[in-house]
Amino acid sequence: MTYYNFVKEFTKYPGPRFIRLGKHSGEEFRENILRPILESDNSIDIDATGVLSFGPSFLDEAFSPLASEYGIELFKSKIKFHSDDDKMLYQKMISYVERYLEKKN
Amino acid sequence: MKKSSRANQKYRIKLLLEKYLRRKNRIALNKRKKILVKTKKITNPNIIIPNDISFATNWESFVEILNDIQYTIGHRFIKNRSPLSIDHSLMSKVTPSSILVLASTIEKSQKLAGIKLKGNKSYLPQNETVRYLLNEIDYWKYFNVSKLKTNFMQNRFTFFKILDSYQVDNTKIGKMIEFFEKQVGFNNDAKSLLNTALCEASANTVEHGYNNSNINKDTDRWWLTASIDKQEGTISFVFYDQGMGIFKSLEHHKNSQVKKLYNRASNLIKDKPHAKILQHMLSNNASKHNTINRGYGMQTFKNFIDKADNGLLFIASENASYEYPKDSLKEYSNSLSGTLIVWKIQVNHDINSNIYLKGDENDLL
Repeated sequence: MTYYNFVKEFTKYPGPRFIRLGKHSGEEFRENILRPILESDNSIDIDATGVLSFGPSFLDEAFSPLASEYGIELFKSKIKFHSDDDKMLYQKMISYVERYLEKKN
Repeated sequence: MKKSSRANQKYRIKLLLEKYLRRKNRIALNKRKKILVKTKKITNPNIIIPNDISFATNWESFVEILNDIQYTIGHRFIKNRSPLSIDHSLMSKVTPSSILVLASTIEKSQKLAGIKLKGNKSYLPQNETVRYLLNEIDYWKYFNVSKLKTNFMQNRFTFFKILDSYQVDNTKIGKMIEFFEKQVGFNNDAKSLLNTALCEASANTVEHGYNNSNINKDTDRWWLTASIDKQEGTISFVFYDQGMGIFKSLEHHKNSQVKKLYNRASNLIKDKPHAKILQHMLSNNASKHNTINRGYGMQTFKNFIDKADNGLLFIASENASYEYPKDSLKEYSNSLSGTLIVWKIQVNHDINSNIYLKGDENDLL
């Protein structure tokens, strides 16, 4: 499992939903960091301690489409996501993913 | 008989000729009058900012002045390149939102016209507080003037200089929040909701505010500032864009369903239709994107206010405004360019609040 320090390797200030809207977007994180993990045999442990805050648009765009494409079980088994500042962060992300899957089906 | 009929005919021709000449003269006179009116505008270009430029108390005059600024700067660029002056001397009542809108209007108009305004000492505000506030927000940079010298001392206001961008720039927004965090305590939830609200506002501007197919990075921007008023015990965040406005963006939306819904709503609602549409957009989860997990924007604006003890959200776009939670709806004769959003919350010294004013270190000793 790869340890990923979100603040050091991506940003302290997560950006908008799409790449075209600005830097450090959810789409950028999904395509550059998460998708390669899901397409490999590797898994990732994302430590988001120190991030100012995650907007719903970022969380939704970064995670939800992948859960839909690769299946929620594989998604959950390969992606760990946590922060010492916000113990509910993983739950928050999963709630967006579930809502996305629900609406898509 | 023959003589008299010839005389009659001559007389009739004379009358017709006189009538024709009178008409011709009248047209020429009217033309001259029109030219005179135009010339008057060109020879007397000074814009006088009125004493009260608060949106709450003087919307119509203030918006008229903003439109005048856009027109006059643009007009001078086309017709006449002689110096233009904006008279600030009467200004006595300003707010963070009115300063932000005034400054951004001046900036955008100058950039569009490709000219730079210059400062003029005789047109500076006479009111010391206004001078101080404009200084703090770095307003004079739009006139290529560095900070004014002032002996006025106060510890009532803390201002953050105006931020702007053509993109969603969460680094700029995040750093501003961190600046205020040193003075105002936010619990994690409140901080996250504030950050989300400001970022969603800028995302809305970038995505829907301007004509996406032809973005001008210099002028199609958003502007943001924030301030603490210690005497009033409030902190305000003010966001503004000079885009097409919420209603025009709904009217021209790519999604035909959104367009249809907007048109139906604006036809059905007879009284204050625009203000009621703002009210509806704030109270419902989806604004324009009734699709998968989209449309958080407007909802997130009020989530931060709900977390505060005594918060107020003011949204104004084009000719309408809505205040939450007061539920106050207003429509005006003069239309503001774009969209203005103000979050104003009460802060106190109770550290158990979600948002509170931190005491000075000296207070703790």
